[in-house]
Amino acid sequence: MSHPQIAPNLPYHPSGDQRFAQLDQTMAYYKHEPTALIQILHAAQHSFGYLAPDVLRYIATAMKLPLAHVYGVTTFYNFFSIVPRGKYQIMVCTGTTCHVRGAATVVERLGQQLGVKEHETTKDGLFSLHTARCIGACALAPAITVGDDVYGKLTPDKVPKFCQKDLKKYA
Amino acid sequence: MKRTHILVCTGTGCTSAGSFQTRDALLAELEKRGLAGEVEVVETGCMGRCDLGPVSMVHPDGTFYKNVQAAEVPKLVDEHFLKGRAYDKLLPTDPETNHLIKTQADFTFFNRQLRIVRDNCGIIDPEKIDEYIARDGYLALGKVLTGMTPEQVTDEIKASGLRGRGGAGFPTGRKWELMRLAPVNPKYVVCNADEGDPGAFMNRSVLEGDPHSVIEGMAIGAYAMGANRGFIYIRAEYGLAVKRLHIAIEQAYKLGLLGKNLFGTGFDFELEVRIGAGAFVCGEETALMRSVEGRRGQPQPRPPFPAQRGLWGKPTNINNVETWATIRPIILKGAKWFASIGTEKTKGTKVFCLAGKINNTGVAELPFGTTLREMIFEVGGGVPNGKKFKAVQTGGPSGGVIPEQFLDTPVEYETLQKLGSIMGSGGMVVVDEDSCMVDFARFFMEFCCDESCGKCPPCRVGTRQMLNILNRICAGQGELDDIQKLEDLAAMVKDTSLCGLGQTAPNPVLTTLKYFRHEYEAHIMDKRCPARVCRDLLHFEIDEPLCKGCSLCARACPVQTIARVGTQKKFEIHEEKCIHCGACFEVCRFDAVKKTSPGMLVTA
Ligand SMILES: Cc1cc2nc3c(=O)[nH]c(=O)nc-3n(C[C@H](O)[C@H](O)[C@H](O)COP(=O)(O)O)c2cc1C
Ligand code: SF4
Ligand code: SF4
Ligand code: FES
Ligand code: FES
Repeated sequence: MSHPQIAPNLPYHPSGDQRFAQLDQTMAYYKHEPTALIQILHAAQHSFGYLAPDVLRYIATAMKLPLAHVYGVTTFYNFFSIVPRGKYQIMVCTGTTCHVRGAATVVERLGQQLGVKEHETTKDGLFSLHTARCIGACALAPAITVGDDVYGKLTPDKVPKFCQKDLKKYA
Repeated sequence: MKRTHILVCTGTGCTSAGSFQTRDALLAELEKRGLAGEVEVVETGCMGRCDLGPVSMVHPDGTFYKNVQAAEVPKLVDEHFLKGRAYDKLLPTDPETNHLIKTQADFTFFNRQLRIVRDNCGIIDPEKIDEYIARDGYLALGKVLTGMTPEQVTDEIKASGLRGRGGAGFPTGRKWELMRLAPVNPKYVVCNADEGDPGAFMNRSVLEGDPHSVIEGMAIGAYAMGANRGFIYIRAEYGLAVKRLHIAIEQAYKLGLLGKNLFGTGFDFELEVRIGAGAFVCGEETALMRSVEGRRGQPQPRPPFPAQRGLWGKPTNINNVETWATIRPIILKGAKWFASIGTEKTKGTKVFCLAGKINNTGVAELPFGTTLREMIFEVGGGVPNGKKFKAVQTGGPSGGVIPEQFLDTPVEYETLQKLGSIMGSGGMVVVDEDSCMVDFARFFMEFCCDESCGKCPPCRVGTRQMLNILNRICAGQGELDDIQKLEDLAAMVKDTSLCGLGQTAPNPVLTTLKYFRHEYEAHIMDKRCPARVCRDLLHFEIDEPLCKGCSLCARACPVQTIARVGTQKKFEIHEEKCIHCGACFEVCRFDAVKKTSPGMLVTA
């Protein structure tokens, strides 16, 4: 998604956090149309990493929407997170094809290797572990994503090597 | 114009295997060898064999290469373009005969296909509108705008017999006609690109490989129905498809193929992308519209249908990606031609995704009426590793499993329905003897339970209750009347849920109960999992005479419960701490670790 450039002379959040200015721009781009709420939440999550209460409140105020509505929409969709997550989210596909090829064991072994359970973040804050429903790479099952990168054919036996080699690239 | 083209797939599957590096290596190597002026590198969308990625094809000779890693490029260029012979190492082999396959035309996976919707996929660069236009792109839109009335367009679609590819198979022309006759304005058209069914990626392959075909179809539909604004609702997981759609829309606007006064006819059409946020139920049309409006995506009762009261209360027509992409060929080649393909009841082709335990995994477009056996064993090349076919799951979480005895069924909406399954989006997940059907049913029930929007109690509570029972059965705690309870709950959820999610959620349970009841009984009565999948019913043991003492298993065991037998070289598993994860079973190279589901004597 393209984000409009930050204009220097816009009023911004009292905290001085430039990301709010960016959010203002996105909302202006959508003319504060309530129907664009989900698109705006996407943009906010993209820059803040997750949707903290003050971000939701900020959006609600700017778009003149009840906070309860903004909160309700946010929590309805799996894609949005209201708690902090790792810098890179590891999403293990647990769709049908990945399931028959051992996705549950992949989740378990990744958890063991990283020392976390599902939804948890590693101590260094780098990775959090999640599951997703089919990422459309079924021909490569079991498939996972790390940030924006897709990794295929990650059968349970390959998990240790994957953690020692591929994940190191993100450190 | 260069005489030879090397097409490099840059779909999601192949890019994850490194096809951008392949492209860069090709450009560099061709330059180095002085071939840059002769051979053109073209980036394309998904060629349909993502499991072999990065894949590549040479035009015009049709040689098809698999696993084209960047490191192989110098050799490939040397052999193919300098010495003029195929580079054998990267040719695929036929799973049946073990022969090398030279060209795409010799590859059963490709030559059995009839490509209408995916005609351009894997051939053109989806980020260049010129390539689309060079293959008659936007010709159909021009023809319609300058020479046909909306009524004629709708009649043509009606005559073609086209049915919606999103699952239910509703006649598209009839839907369009209702819209066209709706007296209210404005009207909207929507493309459903939510593709939520796990195991289905055909819409993604079309959006990534030929986005303009969808845009052109929508513009034609908008004209026929009198709409001037459209939305493409696409799932957030499809990053590359979103990007290519944005590029395609921007290019179409620049050339005046979207926007105001198209082809100078005064017809306006504005098109926007709306990104979903990970809710399966948003694929359902009334939920989808709420989501486009920026609200929680909960389904609404129908009627009123979207054609009566859709987006913002106005008439709205929703079609699937593949439905929209089929409009252009129908307009160009005529309804009669289209209606000559397929079966009596269902015309044309369908893009299927073959996945799971099958040799040729990928996307294949086949005429309706192709049998399951042809799809799985001819196009799909059968089940790998000499395993036995058990069933094929069609239609995603709303569908069901189909066992071996029905493999000769010709595939169309009605035939699959008769077997208790559905067509759905066309996903076909093959399972072999290593899959447990109770676990499989449990998996789908968990999916539906998680994805229920919670609006109606039968779906919200009923799926939870069914899941609890299935969990119990898989854990070896099933009771004799559980099957009856499942059947009763299934009937209740099916009959009383509001939307398709709840109404079809019991299908996987019902079909597995119908065709694989003995597996349920083995779990419940013998506490045994015949496919050796359900962990609580497994037993791991090391066969002493076979053990070579290599210690691989002990090192793989996450709970360190494998140790040497006394002071001997051999190893044994201490049962008490074993979590049945199977790590030892996978690593042993001497088949010394035995995985069994011995069952327990049940004292009734
Ligand atoms: C729970 C549920 C999920 C659905 N998911 C999709 C989907 O991902 N894509 C789709 O095109 N249709 C989906 N549908 C069907 C749509 O409601 C609708 O029938 C379809 O988009 C109409 O397009 P068509 O006439 O071109 O098939 C779903 C339906 C239900 C009940
Ligand atoms: S059937 Fe399920 S998903 Fe559909 S509206 Fe009811 S609760 Fe929501
Ligand atoms: S991996 Fe196999 S051979 Fe090696 S110690 Fe374990 S059981 Fe013995
Ligand atoms: S089921 Fe895992 S990518 Fe589709
Ligand atoms: S992504 Fe390359 S063949 Fe599908």
